[in-house]
Amino acid sequence: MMPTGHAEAMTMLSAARWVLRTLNWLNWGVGVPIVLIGIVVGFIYPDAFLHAAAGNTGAPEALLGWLRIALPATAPIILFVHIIFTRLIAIIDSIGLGAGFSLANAQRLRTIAWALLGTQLIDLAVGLYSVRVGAQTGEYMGWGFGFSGWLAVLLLFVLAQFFRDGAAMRAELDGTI
Amino acid sequence: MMAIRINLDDLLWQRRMTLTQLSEAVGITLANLSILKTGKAKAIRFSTLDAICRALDCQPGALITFDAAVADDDRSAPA
Repeated sequence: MMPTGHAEAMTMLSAARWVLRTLNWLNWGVGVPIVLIGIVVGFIYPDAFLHAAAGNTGAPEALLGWLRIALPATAPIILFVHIIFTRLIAIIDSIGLGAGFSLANAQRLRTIAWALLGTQLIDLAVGLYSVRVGAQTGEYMGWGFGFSGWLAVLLLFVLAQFFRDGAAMRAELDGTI
Repeated sequence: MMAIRINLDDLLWQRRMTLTQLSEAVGITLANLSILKTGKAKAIRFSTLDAICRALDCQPGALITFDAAVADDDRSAPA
């Protein structure tokens, strides 16, 4: 007999899978055009950007420099987010097959932790640069330091190890009569 | 190769009992008993051993034996 709430849990996982797939499409569908537009405007049409920015800020060159550095620098985040979402989908699929507590999922959690660490490092570097540019231009660049992402990275590494140990115990129990 | 032998087949034959009957008597699935019988099990719980010994009226040593010849072969085999 399945445990109480199993059907509800499966429905929730199925919904989570759908949400993750949609978010990953949005990640590519919105992320890539934003980066491409930033590169095109920053490197091919810089004069048009400087002209438009001149009316809003006293230091349009600093803003152009930010556009040229910050947007290409954030491009790897699209790939990291793709890695996070696809690994999460794979974990959900394995739960559906009744093989959630496995070494493969421990490895997937570790990969997610590394990908999230990558996004955090890029966020920190671009964020600090944005604050510097913001001080020059007087514009608020929309960045503030947060602990939650770093805490999530730490938790994921701990969980990955927890899963690895649990999966090894599970493998031992599999042959126990 | 493991030198531990499971003599479930012999014990069942001596008691004129089938694996299905033993499965019903001890409350362990036929699949799990088959794994035990064919020597594919990695470990056996004391509770399982207790149930089988009660059902077959035997000692654990009658069910599980150590094959010294296999152990000697393993020791003399090149690494």
